[in-house]
Amino acid sequence: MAELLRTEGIRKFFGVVSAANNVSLSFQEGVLTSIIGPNGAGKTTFINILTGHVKPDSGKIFFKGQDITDLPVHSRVQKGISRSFQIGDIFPKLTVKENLAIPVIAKKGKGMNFLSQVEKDREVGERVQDLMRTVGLEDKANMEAGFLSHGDQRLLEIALAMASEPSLLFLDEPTAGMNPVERVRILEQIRKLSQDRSMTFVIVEHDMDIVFALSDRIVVLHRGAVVADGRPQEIRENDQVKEIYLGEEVL
Amino acid sequence: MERKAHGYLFTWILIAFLLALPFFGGQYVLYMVIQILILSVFALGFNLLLGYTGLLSFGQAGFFAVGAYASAKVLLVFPSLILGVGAGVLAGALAAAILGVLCVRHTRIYFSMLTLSFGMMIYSLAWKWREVTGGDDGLVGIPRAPMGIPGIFQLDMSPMSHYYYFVVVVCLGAIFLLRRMVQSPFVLILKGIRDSETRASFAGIPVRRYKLLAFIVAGAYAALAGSLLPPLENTVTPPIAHWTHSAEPVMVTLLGGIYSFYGPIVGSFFFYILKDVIVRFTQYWLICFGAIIVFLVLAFRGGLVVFYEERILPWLRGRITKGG
Amino acid sequence: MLDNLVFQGLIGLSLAMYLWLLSAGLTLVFGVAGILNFAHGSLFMLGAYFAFTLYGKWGWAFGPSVLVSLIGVGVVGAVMERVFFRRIYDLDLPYQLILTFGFILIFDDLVKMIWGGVAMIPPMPQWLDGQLVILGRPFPVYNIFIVGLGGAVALLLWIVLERTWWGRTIRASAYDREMASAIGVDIPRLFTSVFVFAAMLAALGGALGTPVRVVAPGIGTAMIIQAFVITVIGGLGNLKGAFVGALIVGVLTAYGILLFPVFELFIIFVVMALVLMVKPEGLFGR
Repeated sequence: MAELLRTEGIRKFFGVVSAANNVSLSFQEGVLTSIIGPNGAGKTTFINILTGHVKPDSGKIFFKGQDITDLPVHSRVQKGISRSFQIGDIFPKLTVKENLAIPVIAKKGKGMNFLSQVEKDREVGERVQDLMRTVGLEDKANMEAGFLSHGDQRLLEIALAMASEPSLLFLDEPTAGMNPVERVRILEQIRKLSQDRSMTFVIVEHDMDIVFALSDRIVVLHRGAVVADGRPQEIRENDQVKEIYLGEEVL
Repeated sequence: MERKAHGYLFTWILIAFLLALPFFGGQYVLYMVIQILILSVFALGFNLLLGYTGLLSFGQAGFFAVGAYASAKVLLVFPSLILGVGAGVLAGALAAAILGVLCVRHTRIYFSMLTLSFGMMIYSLAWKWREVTGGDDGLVGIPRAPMGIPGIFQLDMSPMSHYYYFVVVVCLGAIFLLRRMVQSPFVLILKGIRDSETRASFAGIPVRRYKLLAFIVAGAYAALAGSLLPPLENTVTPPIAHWTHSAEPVMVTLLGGIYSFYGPIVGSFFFYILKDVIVRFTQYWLICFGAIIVFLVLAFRGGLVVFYEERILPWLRGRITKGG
Repeated sequence: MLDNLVFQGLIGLSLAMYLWLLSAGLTLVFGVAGILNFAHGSLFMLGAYFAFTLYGKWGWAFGPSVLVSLIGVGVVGAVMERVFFRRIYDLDLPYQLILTFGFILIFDDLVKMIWGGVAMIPPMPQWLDGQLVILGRPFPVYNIFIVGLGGAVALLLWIVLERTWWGRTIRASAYDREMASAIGVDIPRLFTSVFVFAAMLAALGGALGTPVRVVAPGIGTAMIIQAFVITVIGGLGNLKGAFVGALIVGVLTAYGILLFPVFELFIIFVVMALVLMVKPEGLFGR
């Protein structure tokens, strides 16, 4: 199995707090990984660093063998890394269709067209339809994204992340705030896409049911350091992990 | 469908009206319409930055002035209208490209501060650099050059009606071009940048590059508007670069509606009518406009276009279906 | 030539002090309330006009004139904040900026209406008139006074922010507004007080400038441009940055006027551009 992403010695300090402490991890294609850990463990920071939103103090990042440590966000996206946000980040004044059209246009390199009409672009239109169908938002295509329900906004968020056709997709607490129906739908989609080998998912989650149901691999972070890394069964039996979670989640 | 037909009808009536105007309107009316068209083009460029990209520029008058001075300089040497206007637009786009590189790399607030500062820097240059700009006397004796391609045809522009048609054609062309542009992928991305820069970069968009392009287009439009002024007035003076002139597109766009394409045009029209009226009563029209701006922000942010769409149009439709 | 340069340097330092008084308030309001007040320069201008009226027209003594004009502008600032700015804290950024921008127009015409558009300059107060000979060169006492006062205000500001309850509350609120509110800080009142304080600083600058600078409509806006450059160089929200930025801009402007009069504003912008290219958040910015 090909290695998609590798980090070497990532360190990040916010003042004296270590958000990332010498993190060296490797992500293989097709292996659905969950990153878990108590609050403040540095999970979101880690994703921020990997996607280029935050610069590490030291360390290197390699994607498909290439050193991407100094690449800006949009370049990493163009290379095939994508993410969804913990606090939903969508384009509120644009319709669902328009929201999804943007990453599709970027992917197809049509951004610099000044005179063609977006509405009439069939290629873009079809791909957008596809994405809306995947998350179940087709009937809300012309609704302004800001007016969607919270759960629908999270669905849109995930569709946006998928729209860039990434090889590696980071989802930061994808099901937070969703109702059970939406949750099931999105988990099914993640599982299906992961099994198709079309996208490799790395998910940050707090809901242990989801983590254990979906993951091929679990990484446990605590105070910015990797404390455990292995298959779900191994993690479940790991004493150190149990200790960390004492009083927090129940494994 | 009904909405589109309504829009097309309105547009064609307006164009017909503009084309027929010289036959029943006097010099003053033509002059005023030219000014409204110039301001519309100026404000449309401004709103590409504000309404579509979320960038508030307080320095567009700087580019207006660059266009005006460049076109004036060229006209004084080569009396060809097309060359003058072309030179103005190019100069404005170039100035926007240079200043834009610096302005777009920052947060929105810094952007606004920087554009105000750069606009005034251009004003300061226009005012002090006597050898090039004529200082506070400005440039005079600018000919209303004939429009033509040497050897092929030549149209005399000295009658006001001739120049009026030239301005109408150029401005309508610019407006239609922009109308087409706002339906393009490029502007959709600008709107995305407006709504969330982070999301846009995570969609794979090099945000800075797009902001710079929008800034250049806005600068070119401001310069186009500016380059149409010298042949009309035969002079160019520094006040056109002053921040009070930069305030005009801000105000007319707010008045017409920031988030509507036609807002700046509607606003320009009402602004001129308002200014014409206010100036008859008092010399203190700045305070009136300041007060109007404050009122609009506090109570009427959608502007006239939104007011029309949300209040007047439904009422009209109601009457049509009721009365018959 | 050398003493020309030294002399101009002093001019530059005193100019820096006016700019510092203006920029300090601007950056303070931004740091605490998040509003960039484009009309801040108008408060400077009002300070100048008030002081001019009391001192230049009604013959009051200089000191009391400055003091009363501070209070007057403080009141104007309080009204501005309470009646208008309070309503825009929750609006989108463009609307906030446009509103404060609208106030520039209002104030510029307002002073024309009340005082007329003619530029005026009052006489120099007796006790500050005259020159001091330093190193064989006469320096105007007034400029030395301004430099000294500016430094004193900077020190006072530092003490207020570090040592008083009010100052610490401001800094805490600037850092985390929600938390401050949660522990019982009356945020709206605090904002008003910061605004008034900033207005008085600006007015002080305007008032102190009257004996040597022209009092005319538009002087505030000319200064605000430079204040923007200063805050960009120093970093928005940072008082130390504003002080250093004011020194840089003040001294460079003075030398610019001496050596390259056409391009003096241009030079400031080039410096700003250079700073931004190296450190986009400003020298002391976050």
